[in-house]
Amino acid sequence: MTNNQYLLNDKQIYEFIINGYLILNPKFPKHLNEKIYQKADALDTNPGDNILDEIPDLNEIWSNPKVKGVLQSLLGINYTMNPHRHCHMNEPGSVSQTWHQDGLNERHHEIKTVLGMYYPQKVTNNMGPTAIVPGTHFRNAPSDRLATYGNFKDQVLGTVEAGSIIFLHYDIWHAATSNTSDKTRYMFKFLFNKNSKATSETVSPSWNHDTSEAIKHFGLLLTTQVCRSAQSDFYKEKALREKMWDSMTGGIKLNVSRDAWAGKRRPKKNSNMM
Amino acid sequence: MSIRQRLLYLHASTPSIRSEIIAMAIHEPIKNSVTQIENSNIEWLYNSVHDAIIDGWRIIHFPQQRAPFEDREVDVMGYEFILEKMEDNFD
Repeated sequence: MTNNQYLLNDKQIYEFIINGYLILNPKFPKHLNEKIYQKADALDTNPGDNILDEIPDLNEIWSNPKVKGVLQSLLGINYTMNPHRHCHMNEPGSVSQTWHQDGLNERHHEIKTVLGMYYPQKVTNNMGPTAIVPGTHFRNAPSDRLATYGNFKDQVLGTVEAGSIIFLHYDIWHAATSNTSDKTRYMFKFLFNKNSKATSETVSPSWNHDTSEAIKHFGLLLTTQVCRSAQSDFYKEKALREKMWDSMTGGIKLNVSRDAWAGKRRPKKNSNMM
Repeated sequence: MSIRQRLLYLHASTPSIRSEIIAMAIHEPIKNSVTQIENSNIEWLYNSVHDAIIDGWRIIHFPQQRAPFEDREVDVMGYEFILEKMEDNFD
């Protein structure tokens, strides 16, 4: 079990549900990031799923208490590391990928799989940062249907410090961007799965859940728009966020109001009007 | 000198040509040109499809308005308009 101090709180869980990603910088020792970068740079071939055999130092990344705290918070205490993993080598002179979801999108609104993307080097704008469209983890859109999109007004770039990890919902739309620098950008992608035996009866909050804090911040699910889209999509998205929250809490009901209008102040009356 | 077709994909927040653009991709009829996700200095050419029409673009594909089969789900983002502009200044 992970020490509670490393678990997320309710507000951070809401933010992950809304955005579909979060960025963590666990502050690994500088020499660890550098060693992993150098070992990746010395590879003659891409080892694919065998990357841990080639660079066993990566085990230190995923066994870090802060990292485990995030994964336990999102996936439950019995999460597992998936045998598929990949070293993404974004070489100088590359062009961007197209927007895609990894794998096939499944029609559910839970967090069944989390992508952990670890960057051993600082990633600046020109080094091919990972681009993400916030909130798209709710969208049932196979990657082929994303091929005609170019830039989104609300896309974000994963420009991060060395040693950072971006945790993403498995279904979120993302892509590597072009690397116009003279340095290879490495990103190690690992997948983590929720315990498949977990059911709504056995699930309970696996983070630092506090009912009063959860109530205090619940409005975030109802009011935060992270990516401009159709108004009707936003209404649906809000319902899907609540569905995801329910799947993570086992259906804990919070005594909250969904009335965004009650108590709103009216505009001041114009004193010149008769 | 040859006339070539420039293509502009505009994804609008509603099927109305007056609604806000949320995504954009432009394809130039130039060999080896690249259309990609930019990591700096994105130039948003137009705020709406209407703005693009004023600038001489012609719509060649309108989004369909059929409601999704599953009305509680979300799928693709926005409504896709494809526009063209025929120009001859690529040589």
